[in-house]
Amino acid sequence: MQQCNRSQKIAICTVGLPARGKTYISRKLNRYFNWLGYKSRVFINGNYRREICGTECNSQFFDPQNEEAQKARSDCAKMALQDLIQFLQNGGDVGILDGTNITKERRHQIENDLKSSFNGIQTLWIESICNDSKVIQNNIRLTKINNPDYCNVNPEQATIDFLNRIKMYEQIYQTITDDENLSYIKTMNVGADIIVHQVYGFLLSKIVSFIMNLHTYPRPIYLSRHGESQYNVDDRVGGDSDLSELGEMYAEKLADFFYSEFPTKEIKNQIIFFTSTMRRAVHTSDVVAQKLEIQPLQLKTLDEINVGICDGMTYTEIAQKFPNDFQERKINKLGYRYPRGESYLDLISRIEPVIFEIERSRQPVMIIAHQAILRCLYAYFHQNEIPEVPTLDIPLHCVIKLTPAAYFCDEKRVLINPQTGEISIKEEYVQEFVRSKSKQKSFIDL
Amino acid sequence: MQELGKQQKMVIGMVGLPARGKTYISRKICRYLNWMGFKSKVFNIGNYRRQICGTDCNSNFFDPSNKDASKARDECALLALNDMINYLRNEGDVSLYDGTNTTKQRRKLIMETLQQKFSEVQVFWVESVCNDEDVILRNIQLTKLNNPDYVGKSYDEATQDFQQRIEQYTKVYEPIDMDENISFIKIIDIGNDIMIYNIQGFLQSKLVSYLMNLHIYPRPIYLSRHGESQYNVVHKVGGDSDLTQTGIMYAKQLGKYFIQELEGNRNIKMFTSTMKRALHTSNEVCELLGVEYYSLKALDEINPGICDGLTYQQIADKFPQDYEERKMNKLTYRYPRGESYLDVISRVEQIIFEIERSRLPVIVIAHQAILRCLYAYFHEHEVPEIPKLNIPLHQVIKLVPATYYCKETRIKIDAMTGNSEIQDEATIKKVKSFLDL
Repeated sequence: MQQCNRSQKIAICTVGLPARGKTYISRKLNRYFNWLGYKSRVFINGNYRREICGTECNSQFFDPQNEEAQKARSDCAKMALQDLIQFLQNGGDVGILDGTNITKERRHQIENDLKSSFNGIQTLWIESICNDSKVIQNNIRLTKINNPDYCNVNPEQATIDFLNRIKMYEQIYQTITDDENLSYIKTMNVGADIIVHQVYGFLLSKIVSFIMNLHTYPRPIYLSRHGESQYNVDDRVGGDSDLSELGEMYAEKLADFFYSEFPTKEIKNQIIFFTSTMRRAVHTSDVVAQKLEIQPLQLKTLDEINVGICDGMTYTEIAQKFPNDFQERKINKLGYRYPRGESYLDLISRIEPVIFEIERSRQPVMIIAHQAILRCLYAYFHQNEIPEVPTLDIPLHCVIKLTPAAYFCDEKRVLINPQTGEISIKEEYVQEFVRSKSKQKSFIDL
Repeated sequence: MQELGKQQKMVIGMVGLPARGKTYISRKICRYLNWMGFKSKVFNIGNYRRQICGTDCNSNFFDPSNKDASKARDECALLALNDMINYLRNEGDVSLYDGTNTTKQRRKLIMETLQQKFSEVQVFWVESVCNDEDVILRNIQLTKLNNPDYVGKSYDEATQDFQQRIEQYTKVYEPIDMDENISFIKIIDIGNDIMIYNIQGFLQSKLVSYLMNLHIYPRPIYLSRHGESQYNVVHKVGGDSDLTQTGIMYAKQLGKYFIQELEGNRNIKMFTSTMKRALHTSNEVCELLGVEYYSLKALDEINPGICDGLTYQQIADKFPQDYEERKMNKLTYRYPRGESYLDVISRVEQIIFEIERSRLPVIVIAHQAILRCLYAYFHEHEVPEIPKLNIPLHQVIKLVPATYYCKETRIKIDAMTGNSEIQDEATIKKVKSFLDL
């Protein structure tokens, strides 16, 4: 539904003490919006502060009585907001301001600045509240200790200093109240309890649904294509062919692999297992299902991209019969729609409910589907840019295990030789903040 | 995605003072669930009370200190609860317990009884809170005064008595509290504020998303098929043919109809599919109206797979078995390499949310199978009826959904002359009598 409602600008601001998952929520939302086709970006107060004031700030810097530091922090916050407004003015659709914003005064100022910058801008405040000390400790351990503020400090000291920093903030923390006249969402206990106040509009209600389903359980997502199919052997696109002999062998070996991944009956019963309605995927899934004694759910939403009039042809035949289309697709593989068929953009839209389901699940997820579909799913969880989707490498006879977490996504590729059953593993621990030269270079650019 | 939630049975309990929209909400939820394939039914405690204690109950009956009446009312509540459990045991997936349930004690009683008799059930509470006197008064006028409790009473008498009844309930009202340890959603002032607590599972999460999009603004929904297409003329299915001359004329007349109908209002939402015949129709309309449309693949006609481009006769000849299968079970039959009506229903869900959400008039220009699904949803038809619903060419169906009924008007537009004939003006009450509510 990305074509809807692009006219309005949206600004989202987080509120909450440190280590409450504000950055996690901002990044997840940012990913979701970009995925839906909106130009979205996160502006992190903390990063501005680090660039300008340096990273050697201990908890004293955050003392509300420390006037000089207060002014510096206030200036940094203003800069982040200015950049956000500029982003929206230059074609951005959604700007996310990731900061503590814990005083009424600060929120009032930001709300005014935003409302006066644009006619009809929609603002939304998201307050993350957490009083579970275990969750907070876990957050601190996972994310703060590796943060540049503590690069020269040992973990124990870092934790103590960070807890002191939180105490500084607690002194002046004012939770959002109705008289502030803001549209807000309060999420408590990692999304189990939510309060929504004056939130209207398509995108906004989508956000509430999304936040409701967020969690921080690091559960694995297994993606695999069906085994080699007859059409794969002939290099044809589309069709509803069955598995080749090699494909059947892969199905067996895949079943063995999953059998060893999920040793206990308990775990097996909790797996969420999806496949498509096409023969090659159903056949592969059935073999796995039998071995694990679980049932897959066949979803039409996971069917391979519909290639319309090119169904059953090889790429060479397409190039000969429809040279114009062939060229067009080469130039714009993402947006090109096969006549009477689909485009990758259509696919992305189509699989949204499945993405939601996977986000929501706290149990392991297993998906046996098709190349184009898996490119989309992989890209979403692995945080690839949308233009990359049509060219991602999702080979046959390979299980991709993704374990998305707050700041990174673990990836493990298990290549299974269908004949010998031999397994070779490629592990990739992809730090979100160290991706490629052209993109985010360091934590500061997060 | 309905298969996901099928594992557990669910009871949805309503909470709230009278005239807070509980019955409206339960019926909407029931509609949505049945639509999604969950067998659901509403059990209205008021109906049980009317059947057992009679309809001559004035507000004193609801006085919490009236011991006899309180006992009778508790019995009615338990009767409804039992029927509800039986329904779930037999064929139902979800029961809606539509009553005030305004005290902690009553809610506790229900939770405990369910635990005892049917422990595998999930319970979810929906509380409707409203403090806007105007909305409450309007509710009373629209819905309560036609209610069997007030047959033979004057308008003023009835209003006064009902307001007194509300006061009796208010004396003992205890809004849901977090320490009751139940899963709930609290809707305050028609969605101005929403509180969600301890939501568990796929279905509850979907319901919350659905409820957030509900409102009570009676806006019209216009459904029309594209103008006559070339494939229509030769009776072929599928394809991506363009409009015939007649079809183009219809499109223009349709535009003129909307100009008249909308009376200068251009604040509307228009949706169409990505297929030539629908786009062409929409283009003509939009040129005349001066609005923009959203072209959504989700509104594309049902995919007939290998039967694409054949006439029904050719299908009967070429694929006699499939032809028979489809005749027998048009709802679930999936064309090889194509779709079934169930697939279309699933596909169309996001459009339904869009339409529900919209407070502006909505125009949908699409195709027969698609419109059958949309029409059935708003008009509360049973899902198995969908494949046979009558949605002819060159006709606009105007629906105005409201609390207890859906007003339907069919406007037949002659493509040549532009004459419009209002074929059907019926206020189709979903319920034959109040008691079936």
